[in-house]
Amino acid sequence: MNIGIMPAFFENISFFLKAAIVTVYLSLVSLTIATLIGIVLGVVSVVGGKLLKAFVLAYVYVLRGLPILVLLFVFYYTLPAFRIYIPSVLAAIAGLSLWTGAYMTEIFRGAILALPRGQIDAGNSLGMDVITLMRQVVLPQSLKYAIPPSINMTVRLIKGTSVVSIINIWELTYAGRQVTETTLAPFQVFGGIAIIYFLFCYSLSYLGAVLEKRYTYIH
Amino acid sequence: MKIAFDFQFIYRNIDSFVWGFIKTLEISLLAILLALVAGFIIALLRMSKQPWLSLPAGGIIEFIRNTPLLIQIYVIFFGLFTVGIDFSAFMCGIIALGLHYTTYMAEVYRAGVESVSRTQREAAAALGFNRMQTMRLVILPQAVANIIPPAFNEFIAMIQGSSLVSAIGVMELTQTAKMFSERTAATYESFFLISALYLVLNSILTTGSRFLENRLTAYR
Repeated sequence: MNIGIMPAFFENISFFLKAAIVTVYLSLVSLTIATLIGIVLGVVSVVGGKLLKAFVLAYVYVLRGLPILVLLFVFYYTLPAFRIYIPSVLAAIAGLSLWTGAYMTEIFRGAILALPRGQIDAGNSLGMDVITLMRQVVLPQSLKYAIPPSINMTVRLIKGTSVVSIINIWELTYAGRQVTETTLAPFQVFGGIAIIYFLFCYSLSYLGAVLEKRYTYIH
Repeated sequence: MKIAFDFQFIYRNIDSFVWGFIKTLEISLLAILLALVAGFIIALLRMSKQPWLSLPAGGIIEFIRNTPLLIQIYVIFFGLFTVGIDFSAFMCGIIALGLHYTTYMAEVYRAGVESVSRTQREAAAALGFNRMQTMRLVILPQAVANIIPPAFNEFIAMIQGSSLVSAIGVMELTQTAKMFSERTAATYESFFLISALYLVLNSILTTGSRFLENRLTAYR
């Protein structure tokens, strides 16, 4: 095959696309877990007791205050020190999910607080318990506030998955380093990989911006 | 199994951690300086009325913001070397981190300037100010209060981002902890210590941001 532009990248394109699937997989799994964490802790931080609220506050403070790489290292290096052995993929997913989950908690907390207080009062006066109130009244309405920032967070998560290459997970960035070592063409290889990331992230950023505009115009 | 927190370990190796901490501060501060200056220039280009200035600036901003920092660090570290520019890993880290957050700062500046009401601009025009004077005397002083909080968020993100420079072998805080966990059994002591240090930096910046914001918006 004769490719004029960026040969080192395009000759290995199928290798990179396979690696991109791993990146997408890591992003999707972590996003799912993080969203669940975000919904549960977001609700808890609004309606929970003092102790629960303090716990959520501490979780958000610590996890948002630490670099994602440090979190990954904590799972990768310190768990074995406690004789807990998990595969490094699990360490990666745990780190990414908990990190994203902290931001998702803040997003859902903000989205719930953005609703008029009367919605919760009305639910309470109808005798709804907390779970019914959240599931049937609060969460469906606050979703429109939560979705645009969640999409922006997803972009950060996808970019964050590149960091798991440092704890030896084979994904797009790791594949890039492998091919750079054999072809010695870092500009072509990482340039091409950057374009793959860009296609994913930019389309999401664009969607986020459109939704953000639509939902802010309503109010 | 007995787990004891070995304070002796931290005490014995405190100088390594202090050096790592200083390196992290150095990288972050230099990158912040670069981002503050270059971000302002890019923001001016982005807001220019000439499409041949604003379109490329917009393209660069979107491309860098939507690709991972780690990839950019690798491009600069491995790439510059192949074209015969032999910068140290430390320099490459600062350049990559600075350039990445230049684009974020550019958007912060732009949002700050655009948040100043249109009528201010019109009033300045009515008084016969030129573009330069309008910017310097009317827009920027009012935009600062809107720029400070998001700018500090970017500074916090940059301190966290500086941990990625460890991937090209710079002995900063994260790399120091990694080294100790590979060579000694003191993994959780190391990571506990550096986590605490990152959190302290984070809190200082958050508090500073709030203080400045209150001072600057006191007139409102």
